[in-house]
Amino acid sequence: MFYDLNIALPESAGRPKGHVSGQDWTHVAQTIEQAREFGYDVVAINQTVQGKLVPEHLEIWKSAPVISGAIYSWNKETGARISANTTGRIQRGGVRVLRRLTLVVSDASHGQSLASSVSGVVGEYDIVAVRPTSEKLLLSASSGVWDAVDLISLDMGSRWGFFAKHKTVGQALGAGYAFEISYKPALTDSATRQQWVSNAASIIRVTRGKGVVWTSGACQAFDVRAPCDVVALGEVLQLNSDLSKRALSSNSRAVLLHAFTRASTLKAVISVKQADSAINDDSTEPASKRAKK
Amino acid sequence: MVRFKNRYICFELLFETAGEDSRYPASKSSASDQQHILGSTVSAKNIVALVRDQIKLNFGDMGAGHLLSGLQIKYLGNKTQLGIIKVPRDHCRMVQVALALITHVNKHSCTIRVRHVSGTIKKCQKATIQTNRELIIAWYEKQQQLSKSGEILSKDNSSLLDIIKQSTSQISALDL
Repeated sequence: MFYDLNIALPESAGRPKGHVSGQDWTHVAQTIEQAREFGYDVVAINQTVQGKLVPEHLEIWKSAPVISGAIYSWNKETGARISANTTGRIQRGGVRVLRRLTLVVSDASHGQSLASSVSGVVGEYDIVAVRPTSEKLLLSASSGVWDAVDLISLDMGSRWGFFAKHKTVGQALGAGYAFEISYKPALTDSATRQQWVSNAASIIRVTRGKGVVWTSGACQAFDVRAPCDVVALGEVLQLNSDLSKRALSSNSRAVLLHAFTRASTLKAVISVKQADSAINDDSTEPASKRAKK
Repeated sequence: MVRFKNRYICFELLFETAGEDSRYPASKSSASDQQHILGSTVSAKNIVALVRDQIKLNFGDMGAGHLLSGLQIKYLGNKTQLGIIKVPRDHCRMVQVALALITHVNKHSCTIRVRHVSGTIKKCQKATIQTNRELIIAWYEKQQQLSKSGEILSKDNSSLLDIIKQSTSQISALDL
Protein backbone atom coordinates (compact mmCIF):
# COMPACT_ATOMS: atom_id res chain seq x y z
CA MET A 1 0.00 0.00 0.00
CA PHE A 2 1.56 3.21 -1.09
CA TYR A 3 0.34 6.61 -0.12
CA ASP A 4 1.02 10.00 -1.63
CA LEU A 5 -0.38 12.60 0.68
CA ASN A 6 0.43 15.72 -1.26
CA ILE A 7 -0.83 16.44 -4.74
CA ALA A 8 -0.71 20.17 -4.78
CA LEU A 9 -3.42 22.49 -5.96
CA PRO A 10 -2.12 25.78 -7.38
CA GLU A 11 -1.60 28.92 -5.29
CA SER A 12 -4.88 30.40 -6.43
CA ALA A 13 -6.77 27.65 -4.64
CA GLY A 14 -5.52 28.90 -1.31
CA ARG A 15 -7.47 32.12 -1.31
CA PRO A 16 -11.03 32.31 0.00
CA LYS A 17 -13.33 32.08 -3.03
CA GLY A 18 -10.20 31.09 -4.90
CA HIS A 19 -10.39 29.71 -8.37
CA VAL A 20 -9.03 26.51 -9.80
CA SER A 21 -9.23 26.57 -13.58
CA GLY A 22 -10.19 23.63 -15.77
CA GLN A 23 -6.59 23.43 -16.91
CA ASP A 24 -5.40 23.09 -13.32
CA TRP A 25 -7.91 20.35 -12.57
CA THR A 26 -6.68 18.56 -15.69
CA HIS A 27 -3.17 18.61 -14.30
CA VAL A 28 -4.43 17.27 -10.99
CA ALA A 29 -6.39 14.54 -12.75
CA GLN A 30 -3.33 13.55 -14.79
CA THR A 31 -1.22 13.49 -11.66
CA ILE A 32 -3.68 11.22 -9.90
CA GLU A 33 -3.77 8.91 -12.93
CA GLN A 34 -0.02 8.77 -13.04
CA ALA A 35 0.16 8.05 -9.32
CA ARG A 36 -2.29 5.22 -9.77
CA GLU A 37 -0.17 3.78 -12.59
CA PHE A 38 2.87 3.87 -10.39
CA GLY A 39 1.08 1.91 -7.71
CA TYR A 40 -0.15 4.48 -5.23
CA ASP A 41 -3.41 3.44 -3.63
CA VAL A 42 -4.32 6.47 -1.61
CA VAL A 43 -3.68 10.03 -2.63
CA ALA A 44 -4.52 13.36 -1.04
CA ILE A 45 -5.15 16.62 -2.88
CA ASN A 46 -3.59 19.43 -0.95
CA GLN A 47 -4.95 22.93 -0.59
CA THR A 48 -2.46 25.38 0.87
CA VAL A 49 -4.03 28.23 2.79
CA GLN A 50 -2.22 31.19 4.30
CA GLY A 51 -3.32 32.45 7.66
CA LYS A 52 -6.93 32.19 8.66
CA LEU A 53 -9.28 29.51 7.42
CA VAL A 54 -12.78 30.56 6.38
CA PRO A 55 -15.70 28.57 4.96
CA GLU A 56 -15.13 30.14 1.52
CA HIS A 57 -11.99 28.07 1.21
CA LEU A 58 -14.14 25.02 0.66
CA GLU A 59 -15.72 26.43 -2.53
CA ILE A 60 -13.05 25.10 -4.84
CA TRP A 61 -13.76 21.47 -4.00
CA LYS A 62 -17.14 21.74 -5.66
CA SER A 63 -15.57 22.10 -9.06
CA ALA A 64 -13.44 18.95 -8.83
CA PRO A 65 -13.93 16.87 -11.98
CA VAL A 66 -14.83 13.21 -12.04
CA ILE A 67 -11.83 11.00 -12.64
CA SER A 68 -12.41 7.40 -13.63
CA GLY A 69 -11.24 5.01 -10.98
CA ALA A 70 -10.73 7.67 -8.35
CA ILE A 71 -12.96 7.61 -5.33
CA TYR A 72 -13.33 10.94 -3.66
CA SER A 73 -13.66 10.76 0.08
CA TRP A 74 -15.96 13.76 0.24
CA ASN A 75 -18.48 12.46 -2.27
CA LYS A 76 -21.22 11.00 -0.15
CA GLU A 77 -22.50 8.56 -2.79
CA THR A 78 -19.32 6.91 -3.90
CA GLY A 79 -16.78 7.74 -1.28
CA ALA A 80 -16.41 7.46 2.41
CA ARG A 81 -14.66 9.69 4.84
CA ILE A 82 -11.77 7.85 6.33
CA SER A 83 -12.73 5.60 9.16
CA ALA A 84 -11.27 2.63 10.92
CA ASN A 85 -12.34 0.36 8.07
CA THR A 86 -11.48 2.54 5.16
CA THR A 87 -7.99 3.87 5.81
CA GLY A 88 -6.64 1.81 3.03
CA ARG A 89 -8.43 -0.93 1.22
CA ILE A 90 -9.82 -0.11 -2.14
CA GLN A 91 -10.88 -1.96 -5.25
CA ARG A 92 -8.22 -3.12 -7.68
CA GLY A 93 -6.93 -0.41 -9.96
CA GLY A 94 -8.76 2.30 -8.09
CA VAL A 95 -7.29 5.12 -6.10
CA ARG A 96 -8.78 6.76 -3.06
CA VAL A 97 -8.58 10.53 -3.09
CA LEU A 98 -8.60 12.47 0.14
CA ARG A 99 -8.83 16.16 0.91
CA ARG A 100 -5.95 17.74 2.68
CA LEU A 101 -5.32 21.17 4.07
CA THR A 102 -1.95 22.79 4.68
CA LEU A 103 -2.31 25.83 6.85
CA VAL A 104 0.66 28.17 6.63
CA VAL A 105 0.91 29.69 10.06
CA SER A 106 2.94 32.85 10.31
CA ASP A 107 1.34 34.19 13.45
CA ALA A 108 0.05 32.54 16.62
CA SER A 109 -3.50 33.76 16.05
CA HIS A 110 -3.74 31.71 12.86
CA GLY A 111 -3.81 28.65 15.04
CA GLN A 112 -7.37 29.52 16.06
CA SER A 113 -8.68 27.78 12.98
CA LEU A 114 -7.07 24.59 14.20
CA ALA A 115 -8.36 24.76 17.73
CA SER A 116 -11.01 22.09 17.31
CA SER A 117 -11.07 19.08 15.03
CA VAL A 118 -14.77 18.63 14.96
CA SER A 119 -16.35 22.02 14.51
CA GLY A 120 -15.64 24.55 11.84
CA VAL A 121 -14.14 24.32 8.40
CA VAL A 122 -11.24 22.18 9.51
CA GLY A 123 -13.57 19.21 10.10
CA GLU A 124 -14.25 19.01 6.36
CA TYR A 125 -10.72 18.00 5.54
CA ASP A 126 -9.49 14.43 5.87
CA ILE A 127 -5.92 15.37 6.69
CA VAL A 128 -4.68 18.61 8.18
CA ALA A 129 -1.09 19.76 7.93
CA VAL A 130 0.45 22.82 9.46
CA ARG A 131 3.39 24.77 8.10
CA PRO A 132 4.97 26.89 10.80
CA THR A 133 7.26 29.64 9.56
CA SER A 134 9.30 30.24 12.66
CA GLU A 135 10.85 28.25 15.47
CA LYS A 136 8.35 29.54 18.01
CA LEU A 137 5.44 28.41 15.87
CA LEU A 138 7.06 25.02 15.34
CA LEU A 139 7.22 24.74 19.11
CA SER A 140 3.53 25.65 19.38
CA ALA A 141 2.63 23.08 16.75
CA SER A 142 4.67 20.36 18.44
CA SER A 143 3.30 21.02 21.89
CA GLY A 144 -0.18 20.01 20.82
CA VAL A 145 -1.81 23.38 21.47
CA TRP A 146 -3.67 23.09 18.19
CA ASP A 147 -5.95 20.12 18.19
CA ALA A 148 -6.50 19.65 14.49
CA VAL A 149 -3.05 18.73 13.21
CA ASP A 150 -1.82 15.48 11.67
CA LEU A 151 1.27 16.46 9.76
CA ILE A 152 3.92 19.07 10.20
CA SER A 153 5.00 20.22 6.80
CA LEU A 154 8.04 22.44 6.48
CA ASP A 155 8.89 24.02 3.17
CA MET A 156 11.70 21.90 1.81
CA GLY A 157 12.86 24.24 -0.89
CA SER A 158 13.62 27.33 1.14
CA ARG A 159 15.85 28.35 3.98
CA TRP A 160 14.11 27.95 7.33
CA GLY A 161 16.06 30.40 9.42
CA PHE A 162 16.07 28.01 12.35
CA PHE A 163 17.40 24.61 13.25
CA ALA A 164 15.05 21.74 13.91
CA LYS A 165 15.81 20.64 17.46
CA HIS A 166 15.59 17.19 18.95
CA LYS A 167 13.46 18.38 21.85
CA THR A 168 10.82 20.07 19.73
CA VAL A 169 10.66 17.37 17.12
CA GLY A 170 10.63 14.66 19.77
CA GLN A 171 7.61 16.31 21.33
CA ALA A 172 5.81 16.36 18.01
CA LEU A 173 6.54 12.69 17.38
CA GLY A 174 5.33 11.87 20.86
CA ALA A 175 2.07 13.69 20.14
CA GLY A 176 1.61 11.47 17.09
CA TYR A 177 2.42 14.02 14.40
CA ALA A 178 4.49 13.09 11.39
CA PHE A 179 6.93 15.23 9.45
CA GLU A 180 6.40 15.53 5.77
CA ILE A 181 9.27 15.53 3.29
CA SER A 182 8.09 16.53 -0.12
CA TYR A 183 10.42 15.72 -3.01
CA LYS A 184 9.14 18.30 -5.47
CA PRO A 185 11.83 20.88 -4.66
CA ALA A 186 14.49 18.31 -5.49
CA LEU A 187 13.24 18.27 -9.06
CA THR A 188 13.70 21.96 -9.76
CA ASP A 189 16.95 23.84 -10.04
CA SER A 190 20.33 23.30 -8.44
CA ALA A 191 20.06 25.86 -5.63
CA THR A 192 16.64 24.59 -4.53
CA ARG A 193 17.89 21.04 -4.62
CA GLN A 194 20.81 21.86 -2.35
CA GLN A 195 18.42 23.49 0.09
CA TRP A 196 16.17 20.46 -0.15
CA VAL A 197 19.00 18.07 0.69
CA SER A 198 19.99 20.22 3.64
CA ASN A 199 16.45 20.45 5.01
CA ALA A 200 15.50 16.84 4.39
CA ALA A 201 18.72 15.51 5.86
CA SER A 202 18.25 17.58 9.01
CA ILE A 203 14.70 16.32 9.50
CA ILE A 204 15.79 12.75 9.00
CA ARG A 205 18.64 13.18 11.42
CA VAL A 206 16.48 14.75 14.11
CA THR A 207 13.61 12.28 13.81
CA ARG A 208 15.98 9.33 13.35
CA GLY A 209 13.77 8.37 10.45
CA LYS A 210 10.77 7.52 12.59
CA GLY A 211 7.95 9.96 11.91
CA VAL A 212 8.86 10.80 8.36
CA VAL A 213 6.40 10.74 5.48
CA TRP A 214 7.43 10.98 1.81
CA THR A 215 5.14 13.05 -0.36
CA SER A 216 5.39 14.27 -3.90
CA GLY A 217 4.07 17.84 -3.78
CA ALA A 218 3.30 17.23 -7.44
CA CYS A 219 1.71 19.94 -9.57
CA GLN A 220 1.75 17.89 -12.74
CA ALA A 221 2.05 14.27 -13.77
CA PHE A 222 5.80 14.42 -14.29
CA ASP A 223 6.46 15.39 -10.72
CA VAL A 224 5.39 12.03 -9.34
CA ARG A 225 7.94 9.29 -8.85
CA ALA A 226 7.41 5.57 -8.52
CA PRO A 227 7.67 4.18 -4.96
CA CYS A 228 10.92 2.36 -5.72
CA ASP A 229 12.60 5.59 -6.78
CA VAL A 230 11.34 7.55 -3.79
CA VAL A 231 12.79 4.93 -1.47
CA ALA A 232 16.13 5.31 -3.25
CA LEU A 233 16.07 9.07 -2.62
CA GLY A 234 16.09 8.34 1.08
CA GLU A 235 19.38 6.47 0.83
CA VAL A 236 21.42 9.52 0.04
CA LEU A 237 19.85 11.31 2.97
CA GLN A 238 21.00 8.72 5.47
CA LEU A 239 17.56 7.15 5.64
CA ASN A 240 18.05 3.44 5.13
CA SER A 241 15.79 1.66 2.70
CA ASP A 242 13.66 -0.02 5.37
CA LEU A 243 12.78 3.28 7.07
CA SER A 244 12.42 4.94 3.71
CA LYS A 245 9.89 2.37 2.57
CA ARG A 246 8.02 2.75 5.81
CA ALA A 247 7.90 6.49 5.23
CA LEU A 248 5.99 5.78 2.07
CA SER A 249 3.58 3.22 3.42
CA SER A 250 3.06 2.55 7.10
CA ASN A 251 3.93 6.03 8.38
CA SER A 252 1.43 7.53 5.95
CA ARG A 253 -1.18 5.06 7.08
CA ALA A 254 -0.48 6.11 10.64
CA VAL A 255 -1.22 9.69 9.60
CA LEU A 256 -4.58 8.64 8.22
CA LEU A 257 -5.41 6.75 11.38
CA HIS A 258 -4.39 9.76 13.44
CA ALA A 259 -6.67 11.95 11.36
CA PHE A 260 -9.57 9.58 11.82
CA THR A 261 -8.95 9.29 15.53
CA ARG A 262 -8.85 13.02 16.20
CA ALA A 263 -11.91 13.78 14.11
CA SER A 264 -14.23 10.92 14.90
CA THR A 265 -13.36 9.74 18.36
CA LEU A 266 -13.10 11.11 21.85
CA LYS A 267 -9.60 10.46 23.13
CA ALA A 268 -9.44 7.45 20.84
CA VAL A 269 -11.85 5.58 23.04
CA ILE A 270 -15.40 6.51 22.10
CA SER A 271 -16.77 7.02 18.65
CA VAL A 272 -20.29 7.65 17.50
CA LYS A 273 -21.41 6.01 14.29
CA GLN A 274 -24.31 7.26 12.26
CA ALA A 275 -26.91 4.59 11.57
CA ASP A 276 -26.68 3.87 7.84
CA SER A 277 -29.73 2.88 5.89
CA ALA A 278 -27.62 -0.03 4.63
CA ILE A 279 -27.37 -1.50 8.09
CA ASN A 280 -31.14 -1.60 8.35
CA ASP A 281 -31.30 -4.07 5.45
CA ASP A 282 -31.52 -7.66 6.49
CA SER A 283 -28.14 -8.28 5.09
CA THR A 284 -26.19 -11.34 6.10
CA GLU A 285 -22.80 -9.87 5.24
CA PRO A 286 -20.53 -9.11 8.15
CA ALA A 287 -20.12 -5.46 9.02
CA SER A 288 -16.53 -5.31 7.86
CA LYS A 289 -17.46 -6.32 4.31
CA ARG A 290 -20.27 -3.82 4.19
CA ALA A 291 -18.05 -1.02 5.35
CA LYS A 292 -15.56 -1.76 2.56
CA LYS A 293 -18.03 -0.82 -0.16
CA MET B 1 38.26 -14.43 -6.11
CA VAL B 2 38.11 -10.74 -6.80
CA ARG B 3 35.28 -10.18 -9.20
CA PHE B 4 34.00 -6.91 -10.52
CA LYS B 5 30.34 -6.84 -9.55
CA ASN B 6 27.65 -4.99 -11.44
CA ARG B 7 24.03 -4.10 -11.14
CA TYR B 8 21.66 -4.09 -14.09
CA ILE B 9 18.85 -1.60 -13.76
CA CYS B 10 15.76 -2.03 -15.91
CA PHE B 11 14.08 1.35 -16.28
CA GLU B 12 11.18 2.83 -18.16
CA LEU B 13 11.13 6.25 -19.77
CA LEU B 14 7.87 8.12 -19.61
CA PHE B 15 7.47 11.34 -21.53
CA GLU B 16 5.25 13.47 -23.70
CA THR B 17 5.38 15.55 -26.81
CA ALA B 18 4.38 19.17 -26.61
CA GLY B 19 0.88 19.88 -27.77
CA GLU B 20 -0.27 16.25 -27.93
CA ASP B 21 -2.09 16.20 -24.61
CA SER B 22 -4.53 18.93 -25.47
CA ARG B 23 -6.50 16.43 -27.54
CA TYR B 24 -7.46 14.24 -24.64
CA PRO B 25 -9.93 14.88 -21.86
CA ALA B 26 -8.68 14.74 -18.31
CA SER B 27 -9.49 11.15 -17.54
CA LYS B 28 -7.81 9.64 -20.60
CA SER B 29 -4.66 11.62 -20.78
CA SER B 30 -1.62 10.56 -18.79
CA ALA B 31 2.12 10.67 -19.13
CA SER B 32 2.31 7.03 -20.19
CA ASP B 33 -0.18 7.63 -23.00
CA GLN B 34 2.06 10.20 -24.55
CA GLN B 35 5.04 7.93 -24.26
CA HIS B 36 3.44 5.46 -26.57
CA ILE B 37 2.65 8.11 -29.09
CA LEU B 38 6.17 9.36 -29.22
CA GLY B 39 7.96 6.36 -30.61
CA SER B 40 11.69 6.58 -30.81
CA THR B 41 13.12 10.06 -30.68
CA VAL B 42 15.39 9.28 -27.78
CA SER B 43 18.45 7.18 -28.48
CA ALA B 44 20.73 5.26 -26.19
CA LYS B 45 23.41 7.93 -26.59
CA ASN B 46 21.01 10.59 -25.34
CA ILE B 47 20.19 8.56 -22.26
CA VAL B 48 23.82 7.94 -21.38
CA ALA B 49 24.63 11.62 -21.77
CA LEU B 50 21.60 12.52 -19.69
CA VAL B 51 22.51 10.17 -16.86
CA ARG B 52 26.12 11.33 -16.81
CA ASP B 53 24.98 14.94 -16.69
CA GLN B 54 22.67 14.27 -13.79
CA ILE B 55 25.41 12.47 -11.88
CA LYS B 56 27.80 15.36 -12.50
CA LEU B 57 25.12 17.82 -11.39
CA ASN B 58 24.14 16.00 -8.22
CA PHE B 59 27.25 14.12 -7.19
CA GLY B 60 29.94 16.24 -8.78
CA ASP B 61 33.21 15.17 -10.27
CA MET B 62 33.65 12.44 -7.68
CA GLY B 63 30.45 10.73 -8.70
CA ALA B 64 31.09 11.21 -12.38
CA GLY B 65 34.56 9.80 -11.97
CA HIS B 66 33.37 6.58 -10.31
CA LEU B 67 31.04 5.95 -13.22
CA LEU B 68 33.32 7.00 -16.04
CA SER B 69 34.14 3.51 -17.18
CA GLY B 70 31.41 1.49 -15.48
CA LEU B 71 28.22 3.09 -16.78
CA GLN B 72 26.75 1.58 -19.93
CA ILE B 73 23.41 1.34 -21.66
CA LYS B 74 22.84 -2.23 -22.70
CA TYR B 75 19.44 -1.95 -24.33
CA LEU B 76 16.84 0.65 -25.17
CA GLY B 77 13.54 -0.38 -26.74
CA ASN B 78 11.85 1.53 -29.53
CA LYS B 79 8.18 1.25 -28.81
CA THR B 80 8.32 0.74 -25.10
CA GLN B 81 11.23 2.95 -24.05
CA LEU B 82 12.45 0.27 -21.72
CA GLY B 83 16.13 0.28 -21.03
CA ILE B 84 18.81 -1.70 -19.27
CA ILE B 85 21.69 0.18 -17.77
CA LYS B 86 24.78 -1.47 -16.33
CA VAL B 87 26.31 0.10 -13.23
CA PRO B 88 29.08 -0.93 -10.84
CA ARG B 89 27.45 -2.39 -7.72
CA ASP B 90 28.94 0.11 -5.28
CA HIS B 91 27.44 3.04 -7.09
CA CYS B 92 24.06 1.60 -7.95
CA ARG B 93 22.19 3.74 -5.43
CA MET B 94 23.80 6.87 -6.75
CA VAL B 95 22.62 6.10 -10.26
CA GLN B 96 19.14 5.25 -9.00
CA VAL B 97 18.89 8.63 -7.32
CA ALA B 98 20.16 10.38 -10.42
CA LEU B 99 17.52 8.59 -12.48
CA ALA B 100 14.82 9.62 -10.01
CA LEU B 101 15.87 13.26 -10.30
CA ILE B 102 15.68 13.44 -14.08
CA THR B 103 13.01 15.83 -15.31
CA HIS B 104 13.83 16.56 -18.95
CA VAL B 105 15.32 14.90 -21.96
CA ASN B 106 15.86 16.79 -25.23
CA LYS B 107 13.54 19.53 -23.99
CA HIS B 108 10.69 17.06 -23.36
CA SER B 109 9.39 16.58 -19.85
CA CYS B 110 10.10 13.06 -18.75
CA THR B 111 10.13 10.73 -15.80
CA ILE B 112 12.25 7.65 -15.31
CA ARG B 113 10.79 4.76 -13.45
CA VAL B 114 13.07 1.99 -12.22
CA ARG B 115 11.39 -1.35 -12.79
CA HIS B 116 13.93 -3.88 -11.65
CA VAL B 117 17.45 -4.01 -10.31
CA SER B 118 19.41 -7.21 -10.62
CA GLY B 119 22.91 -8.54 -10.12
CA THR B 120 22.94 -10.68 -13.23
CA ILE B 121 21.97 -9.71 -16.72
CA LYS B 122 19.99 -12.90 -17.12
CA LYS B 123 17.49 -11.99 -14.41
CA CYS B 124 17.35 -8.45 -15.65
CA GLN B 125 16.58 -9.69 -19.14
CA LYS B 126 13.80 -11.81 -17.76
CA ALA B 127 12.27 -8.87 -15.89
CA THR B 128 12.64 -6.65 -18.94
CA ILE B 129 10.91 -9.18 -21.18
CA GLN B 130 8.02 -9.40 -18.72
CA THR B 131 7.61 -5.65 -18.39
CA ASN B 132 8.04 -5.28 -22.13
CA ARG B 133 5.20 -7.65 -22.75
CA GLU B 134 2.92 -5.77 -20.37
CA LEU B 135 3.76 -2.43 -21.89
CA ILE B 136 3.32 -3.57 -25.47
CA ILE B 137 -0.03 -5.13 -24.68
CA ALA B 138 -1.15 -1.90 -23.01
CA TRP B 139 0.14 0.11 -25.96
CA TYR B 140 -1.58 -2.15 -28.45
CA GLU B 141 -4.89 -1.97 -26.61
CA LYS B 142 -4.67 1.77 -26.56
CA GLN B 143 -3.98 1.83 -30.30
CA GLN B 144 -7.04 -0.36 -30.88
CA GLN B 145 -9.17 1.92 -28.75
CA LEU B 146 -7.99 5.02 -30.49
CA SER B 147 -8.35 3.59 -34.00
CA LYS B 148 -11.92 2.61 -33.14
CA SER B 149 -12.72 6.17 -32.19
CA GLY B 150 -11.32 7.34 -35.48
CA GLU B 151 -7.86 8.51 -34.56
CA ILE B 152 -5.03 6.48 -35.94
CA LEU B 153 -1.74 7.46 -34.49
CA SER B 154 0.71 4.91 -35.67
CA LYS B 155 1.26 3.49 -39.11
CA ASP B 156 2.59 0.26 -37.73
CA ASN B 157 0.11 -2.50 -38.38
CA SER B 158 2.11 -5.53 -37.36
CA SER B 159 0.30 -7.89 -35.10
CA LEU B 160 0.63 -7.91 -31.38
CA LEU B 161 2.47 -11.21 -31.25
CA ASP B 162 5.02 -10.07 -33.80
CA ILE B 163 5.87 -6.97 -31.87
CA ILE B 164 6.29 -8.91 -28.68
CA LYS B 165 8.40 -11.55 -30.37
CA GLN B 166 10.64 -8.99 -32.00
CA SER B 167 11.42 -7.04 -28.87
CA THR B 168 11.78 -10.21 -26.79
CA SER B 169 14.41 -11.52 -29.17
CA GLN B 170 16.18 -8.18 -29.09
CA ILE B 171 16.39 -8.28 -25.33
CA SER B 172 17.46 -11.91 -25.22
CA ALA B 173 20.20 -11.30 -27.73
CA LEU B 174 22.13 -8.99 -25.48
CA ASP B 175 25.61 -10.17 -24.70
CA LEU B 176 27.26 -9.55 -21.44
